[in-house]
Amino acid sequence: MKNKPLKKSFTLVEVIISIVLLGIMFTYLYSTINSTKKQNNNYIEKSEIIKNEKQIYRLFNLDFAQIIGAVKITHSKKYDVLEFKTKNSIYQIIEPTVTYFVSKKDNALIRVESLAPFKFDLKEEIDKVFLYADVLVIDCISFKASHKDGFISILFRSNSLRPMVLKIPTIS
Amino acid sequence: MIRAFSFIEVLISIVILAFLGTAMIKFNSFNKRAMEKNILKQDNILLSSSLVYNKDIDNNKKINLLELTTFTNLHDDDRKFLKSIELSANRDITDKLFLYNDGKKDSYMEYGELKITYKEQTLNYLWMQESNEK
Repeated sequence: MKNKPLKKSFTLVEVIISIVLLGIMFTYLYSTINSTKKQNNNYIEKSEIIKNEKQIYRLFNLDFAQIIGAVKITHSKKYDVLEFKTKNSIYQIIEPTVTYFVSKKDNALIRVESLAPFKFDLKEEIDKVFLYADVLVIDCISFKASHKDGFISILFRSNSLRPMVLKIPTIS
Repeated sequence: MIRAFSFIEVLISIVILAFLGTAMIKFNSFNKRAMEKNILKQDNILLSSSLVYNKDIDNNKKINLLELTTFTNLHDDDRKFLKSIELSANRDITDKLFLYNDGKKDSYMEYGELKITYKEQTLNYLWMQESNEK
C-alpha cells in the first residue's frame, strides 16, 4: 500500500497566533470605528445647532426689520413679551401680528404668527384660526428687548445656542 | 511547484492592511475633528453690525457690549453678561462713490469693511453710508 503524501497545513501554534492577532486587530478596529461614529454624531449635532441658530437669527432680522407701527413690549424679570405687526410672514398671512414669548413650563422661546393679536387665553374657536406657533428653542435663559430711536435691540440667551445680541433698524 | 506565501508573509500583509484601514478611518475622523474645531471657534456670540454702525468708535478700542446697547429693565445676570463682553471694531473706508452735487456739496457713498472682534473671533461685515463734503 502506497502512503499518501501529507499536505502541508498550519500548525496549532500558527492558528493560535493568527486568532490572537485577528482578535487584537478587530478590537483596535472596533474602537476606532466607535470613536469615529461618536465624532460623526457630535459633528452632526453641532451642525444642527448652528443651522438652528442661523434660522433664528434670520427670523429675528426679517421680523424686526419689517415692523409696521408700534412694538408692544411687556417687561418682566428675565423674559419680555414682544408683540408687533410685521410684513414678514412664514405662513402667508398678510401683515400678521407676531408675538414672541417664553413659556413658563420649559422656558421655550415661542413665536406666534396670527391674523389678529394673540390672546394667551384662547377661549373662542375663532381665535385659533390663522394662528401658527413655533417653538424656536427650549431652555431659554433670557429674552430681553427694547425699542428706541428706530432700532430694536434684542438680547437672547439659551443653554443650547450661542447668545445673540442684535440691534436692528426698523422701517417705521 | 509554485511558491506560495509563507505564514509570516501572510500575517505581515494582514497587519499592514489592517493598519492602512485604521489609518484611513483615523484620517476621516481627523478631518471631522478639524471641522468641529472650526465650529467650536464660533462658540462665542452672534452680533449684528448695527451695534457699532452708527456709533463713533475708535478703531480697535475695547468697548463692552453694555455700552453699545440701550436695554431698559435688565436683569443683573444679563447686565453682567453684557458687561463681560469686550469687543473691538475696525472700520475701513475702501472707496467713495460719487452720487450727485446739489450746487453746494458733493454727495457720495462711502463703503468698506467693518470687523467686529470678540476674543479670537472676527466677524466681517460690509458697511456703507451717505456723506456730504464741500
